[in-house]
Amino acid sequence: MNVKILFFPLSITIALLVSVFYVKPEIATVMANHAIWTEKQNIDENVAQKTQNAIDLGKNLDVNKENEVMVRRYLPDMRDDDRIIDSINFFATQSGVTLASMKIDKVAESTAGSVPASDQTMPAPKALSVTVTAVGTYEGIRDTVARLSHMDRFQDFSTVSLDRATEAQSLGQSNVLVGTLAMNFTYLPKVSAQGNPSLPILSSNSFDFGVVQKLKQYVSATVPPMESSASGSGNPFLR
Amino acid sequence: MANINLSQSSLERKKHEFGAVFDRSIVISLSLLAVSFGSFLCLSIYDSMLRNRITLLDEDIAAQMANLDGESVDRVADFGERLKNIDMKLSDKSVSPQDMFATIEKLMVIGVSLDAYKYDMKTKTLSLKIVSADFKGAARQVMALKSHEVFKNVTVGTILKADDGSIVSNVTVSL
Repeated sequence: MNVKILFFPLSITIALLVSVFYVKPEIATVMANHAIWTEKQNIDENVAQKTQNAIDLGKNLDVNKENEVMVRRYLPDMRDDDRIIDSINFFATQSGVTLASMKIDKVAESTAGSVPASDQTMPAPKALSVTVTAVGTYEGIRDTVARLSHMDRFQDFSTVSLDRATEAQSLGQSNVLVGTLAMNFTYLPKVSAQGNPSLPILSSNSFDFGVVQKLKQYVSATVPPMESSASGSGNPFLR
Repeated sequence: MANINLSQSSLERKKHEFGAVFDRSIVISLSLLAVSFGSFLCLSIYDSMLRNRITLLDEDIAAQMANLDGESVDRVADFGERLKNIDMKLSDKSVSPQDMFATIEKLMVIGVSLDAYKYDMKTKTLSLKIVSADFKGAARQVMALKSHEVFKNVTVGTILKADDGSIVSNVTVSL
């Protein structure tokens, strides 16, 4: 009988204790886990979308191979001293200008040319600093500059200077100038996605090939491909 | 009705009422206990379900991230970055060397020529050594340079008379 009388207050006490020490903390845990679950769902959807975009972008490139080749030729992934030397010589010769010297400096490690790294996680473009001394008429040097500006290679001029050629002046050739052209030939080391879903390019499922169309209009000077002509002769000092 | 025991029926009635209240309190007590323990049990089960779902999502996310790490995705990322760099270069509005040549050709005054020319695209400055027959020619040339909207500031440095009587002026132009 006493137990029955005590049962009601005892059960209220137990119910209160369970509510305060078990139910309430459990509610907080469930709410926190629910928030985590919702967030993970969003991440999962986002990553799935990015993965699909990557597949679509790959297919986009497969049907635009010509554009891909042009872009990689314009902005290569490693230094190409041979192509640079050949191009400068070709354009100078076409313009009737004589090359007196060419200096290729060490690669600039910091941001190169006029283009900084577009994203902190991406490798920065590098540049080859090339200084050329050319002798010719004003028109010839001007044409050389124009051809180099619109060649199918990512390059920017740093300085262009023209001075009268003192030796030529003494010979009565007042129109002969000495041009000093300082340029940066930029290249971009290979980029890796590194499993990063937040890459800006993965936000879209197709490339903007309008840029390539602009590039095709911009590039007006091309150099014929150079072939290796190694003779394999025994004595390398033989002239 | 002399044998009716009224006091006994009221006692039974009180006992009956007391018993009814007592039964209600047991029901209420049991209900409270059921609700509190039941709530805890349901929440625990739901929490366990949530944790399982989170684990499955983590596995799915990891599997998809693995798909983003490969040659085909590298090719896409590489091409995208090259395209972005090329777009930035083509959008550059700096005055190109050939445009500068064209501008100077238009602004040259008759009777004035250049002995030296230097266009620095980094500092956006143009340095000219102007040769004229007289000071007036030099002044006219400086005025012509100032008239162009691209040239923000035209400053004249030294002006010397050369051995042959011509006037040589060093002019710096900022863009």
